[in-house]
Amino acid sequence: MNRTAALAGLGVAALVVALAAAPLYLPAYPLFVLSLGLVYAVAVLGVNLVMGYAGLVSLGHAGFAAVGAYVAAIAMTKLGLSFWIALPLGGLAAAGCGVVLGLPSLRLGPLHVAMVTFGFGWVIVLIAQNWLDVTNGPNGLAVPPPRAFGRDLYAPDFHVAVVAITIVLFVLAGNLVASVHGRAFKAIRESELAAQAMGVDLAFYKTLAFALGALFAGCSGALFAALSHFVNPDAFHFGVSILYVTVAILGGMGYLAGSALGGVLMAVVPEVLRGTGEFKDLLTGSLLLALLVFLPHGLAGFADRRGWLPRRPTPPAIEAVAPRIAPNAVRAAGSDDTPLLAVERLTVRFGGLTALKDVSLAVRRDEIVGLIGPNGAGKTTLFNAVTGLYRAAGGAVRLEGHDLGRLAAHERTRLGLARTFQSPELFRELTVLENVLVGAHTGQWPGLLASTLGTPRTRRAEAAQRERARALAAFTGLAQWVDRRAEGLSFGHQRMLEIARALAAQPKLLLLDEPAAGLTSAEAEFLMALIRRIRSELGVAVLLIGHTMRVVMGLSDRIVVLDHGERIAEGSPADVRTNADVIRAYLGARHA
Amino acid sequence: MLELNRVNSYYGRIHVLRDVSLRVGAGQIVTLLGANGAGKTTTLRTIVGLNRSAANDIRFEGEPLGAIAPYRIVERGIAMVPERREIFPEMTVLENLELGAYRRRDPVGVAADLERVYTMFPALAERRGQAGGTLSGGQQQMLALGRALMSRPRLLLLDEPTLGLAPLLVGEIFATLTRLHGEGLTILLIEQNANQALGISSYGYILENGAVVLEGESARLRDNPSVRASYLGAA
Repeated sequence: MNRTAALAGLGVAALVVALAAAPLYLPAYPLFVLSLGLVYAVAVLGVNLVMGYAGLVSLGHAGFAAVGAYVAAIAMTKLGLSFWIALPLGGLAAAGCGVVLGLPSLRLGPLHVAMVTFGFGWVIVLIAQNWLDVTNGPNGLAVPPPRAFGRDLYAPDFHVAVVAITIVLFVLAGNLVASVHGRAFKAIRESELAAQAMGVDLAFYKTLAFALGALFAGCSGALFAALSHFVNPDAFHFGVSILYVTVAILGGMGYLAGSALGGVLMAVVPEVLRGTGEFKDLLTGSLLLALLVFLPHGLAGFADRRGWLPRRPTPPAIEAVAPRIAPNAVRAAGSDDTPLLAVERLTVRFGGLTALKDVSLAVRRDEIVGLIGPNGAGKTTLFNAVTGLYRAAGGAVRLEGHDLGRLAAHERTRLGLARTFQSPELFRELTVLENVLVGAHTGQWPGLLASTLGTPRTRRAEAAQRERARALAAFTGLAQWVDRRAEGLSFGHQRMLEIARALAAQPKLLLLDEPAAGLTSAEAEFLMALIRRIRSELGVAVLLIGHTMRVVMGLSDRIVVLDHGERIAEGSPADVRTNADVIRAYLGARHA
Repeated sequence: MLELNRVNSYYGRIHVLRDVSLRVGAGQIVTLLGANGAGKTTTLRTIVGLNRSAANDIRFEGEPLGAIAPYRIVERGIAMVPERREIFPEMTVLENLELGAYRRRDPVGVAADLERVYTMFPALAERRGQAGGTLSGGQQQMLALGRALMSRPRLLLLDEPTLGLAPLLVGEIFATLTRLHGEGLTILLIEQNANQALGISSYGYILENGAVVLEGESARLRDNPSVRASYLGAA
């Protein structure tokens, strides 16, 4: 462990002790405010998971907190359950609501999801106000103090419990966001298109993000009920949802420390400004505005950009071990005459326009097939139909003889298709290494629970995958850029990263969309050598779209030519080069 | 016409351009070659004010461009065709072209230039009401070029105008550039089709790791063994 990490560890330990020991030096009311801040922090963490990490919108988190608070309160008062059961019960009830609210986000755009969550927050408050038999309406419910070790926990004791629970929840969230599942959230935030092409199940992860975000808010609500010994609808009105979002941004979206800071500020700032009387709201508003203008990435984001935040220590690269990129050693036995990929009379229509008409082609194992044609001929459309981004209107796509039918894009990735995009669709804010790791999403990873608990097995799996990702980055010539954000790479390096990311999925067939565009001739040479190595060393077949004739003609065993959505020629590079139709439609006289 | 004296540029803490000096004379076509990540795009972005650093000495027709906002640089007579075209995909072809003339206050001249662009690229005239994003790659490149011309620039900066285009279209783009140059336009060109780029330009610069490592007349660069190895391919 290096010195910075050691210092950071020491700082965190000191902070934990200072928080837990607060009853020794804080009077009763400030202590309550601090407890309240930690309780808020848990809800803000929930907002952060949904918005900061997964890039979805929630304007109804106070609704989730209300569900948690009321379920816990009712469980304790009416059912006589212990707080320690009521707390997870409240969290789970809220998580259930999160699942239900997450579903529309699968189909609707961000604005609509914002409206749905907004409506949810509103409805929950209305229910709390009007379902008198259960919630006691505006008068609220009195909540008995939690009990532990045979006694009731009031303010000073309960504060210690709040500190402990908050820390546990933050540690679990920290494990999760650093795991393969957390990376899937961030990948969805950066590019849904690329995320599903890498095998990330959008429906699962979006629902999960809402469920977890709601779980944390529900726990926060339950803690709030126990801390204030009382719940009523006022504590969860719409303004609270907005406040959660505001302090999440202020603390720093995508930073756990930001959520902790934001929650504490949410409780402390109004108290500090209490003396300013009627100017309080004006001052709060101005302060917020100023901070948001000057620190657009929030307090934690600002600190991060200054290099002040401790980083989760990355396992050091094991240089002594030679890079291992497992080739596709296991071949389907016996069926070698079945083509790896068979596209049969594929037709794709957009409205009235036929983009592809009865196109057939095959790629065998160990083959490199070129796909050329004028701009707009349907080459990328074919890629999109094969990888499942477009629905075919007719025909079939088979991988190793199996009809891919209506399988979604992420399922096709699992079966062995990986692709790159014509305009790089990288996860721009993630590092090169993280991009490759998302590419490996379909590989062997620990489950959700193990990741959240941060088991040793999880850490070993993560370290092994990182090592493999480093090897792939080196394989594609990106070794020196592994820690740089993808958006900081030049266009040509972004293309290489797309290839590394696609290879991380251990595909059987790699679909490359104009990989040579924008490369110098020396770089194109490197690319050609790389594609040959992809075939010979990794055993991956390649289907290649390209306009750089030297590359396509030089690499391909066979070339298929499309024009106006139809196949106009197929053959060896030499045949295609001299084909009159191809010269007329595509090459021009110069290349003939 | 354009002069860069020891220009430096940064992305965050990364030092991208190191003391880059180059000149483009009036009426010239100058080519900027270099590997990916060498700083070619950054050079163009720095010229038009999208990447700034206070100390830079960039002069256009003798006047410093250092602290001028990008939109004012367009008014001075410099237009850029950005890498990957960056057209406005949801707007029509006509709207895209009109935005190219956004800072102009001479409607008659704008109308004349619109006709000129339509004459030069008949495909755009046919599709004037169509959304830019629905055009094919080649048509989008024509649109990006036409949009830049709508500001009636004296200096045109082009960042890989043939990227992703079929061989037939690559030829068309180069023919268009030659024609614009014949009409008196000065051009600074980034291009990976180094052979053709050096063929139409009179002077060239080679960037490596953010610094100019070689410059000279295009014909001499074409004969330089290291240029041949890195940029012209074995052919």
